[in-house]
Amino acid sequence: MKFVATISKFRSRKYFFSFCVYILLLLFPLFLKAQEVDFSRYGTYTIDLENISMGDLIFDGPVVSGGGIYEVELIDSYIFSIIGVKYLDVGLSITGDGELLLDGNSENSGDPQKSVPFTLKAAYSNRGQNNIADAKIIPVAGGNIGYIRFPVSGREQQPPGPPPPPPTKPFDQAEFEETAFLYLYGEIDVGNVVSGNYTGTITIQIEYE
Amino acid sequence: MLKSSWYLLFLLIPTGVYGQSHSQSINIRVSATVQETIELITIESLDLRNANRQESILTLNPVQDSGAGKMVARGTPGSEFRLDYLRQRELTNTRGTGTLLVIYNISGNHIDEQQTSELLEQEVRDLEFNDDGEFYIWIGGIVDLSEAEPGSYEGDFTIEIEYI
Repeated sequence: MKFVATISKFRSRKYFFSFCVYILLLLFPLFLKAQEVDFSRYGTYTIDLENISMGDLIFDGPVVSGGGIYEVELIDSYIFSIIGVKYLDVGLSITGDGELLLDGNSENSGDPQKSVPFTLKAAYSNRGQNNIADAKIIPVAGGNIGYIRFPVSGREQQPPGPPPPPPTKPFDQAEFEETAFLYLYGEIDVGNVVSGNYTGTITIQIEYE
Repeated sequence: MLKSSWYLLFLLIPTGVYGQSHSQSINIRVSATVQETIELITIESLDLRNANRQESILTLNPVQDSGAGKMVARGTPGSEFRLDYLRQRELTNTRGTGTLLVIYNISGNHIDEQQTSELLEQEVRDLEFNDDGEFYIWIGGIVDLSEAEPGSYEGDFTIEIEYI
């Protein structure tokens, strides 16, 4: 009744129509994500993605033209740490080049004598320790594109708990941080290619979800 | 007045609720250094006919003797490799019975010059291709003929080279 009374205060249909459109626009995002409360959108949180490994993801040792498959295994993987708020979920996107190119030159793409097919593999651990025994595989599609969402601190198959009580002092993220780990590895298939340095790129993007 | 207050209220809602959340993006490079396949080419076979003979022992010096076998290894210029070979090998009599035991020794050089080549003991294995991607190897050996049956003997020399 009160709402009806409020509406009656609008003196023309023009204002009432504008009001309704505005309300619908405001509510539209809620219709799309009605089952999810996105806590991370209600505060200022930072997330850090840092290299633990140095340099490149290198296929080490002698890689010989025509040698076939060479692998960097999980145990030798390139490692990142992900430092964020432990009770929040992160979305992790990984995109890797499908081939390593001689001298990194894009003109060599698709040239069987100057490119080496690359298959990206990835895993993560969110149990607080840099331990590949805890690593869970991240699905990576054929185009070397992978995505996964996971909590910074693993909930071990438990449903997520309630958000923490509102702080009575200024929020200090460091008190609620945990570290997860990302492992990148993979394989190359070396055909009869020209000898030299072959390079490609992997892009990792992470954000709260 | 009432109208403007409503609009002000709704304008404040979307900006007040949503804070900033951060994301991060990093690129890393994937790299591999591909080396040429190693080729081993036999240039001359080992020939014991002109070997030095002292009583029943035939000796062919890989650094000095013209009957030494010769090979060239080809790979990626400047790259290091490891060399290994079977030091002892039996030669079989092609026309009769009996075998001969040959003990190989080899020398190597970055240039095609036998006289300045260096004896390669089995402990000295880490070597390097020259700027043209070549490394020269000469093969000699010692054979004891004291219990040998007459005949013609043949056998292999097995050498293995791999990048380090």
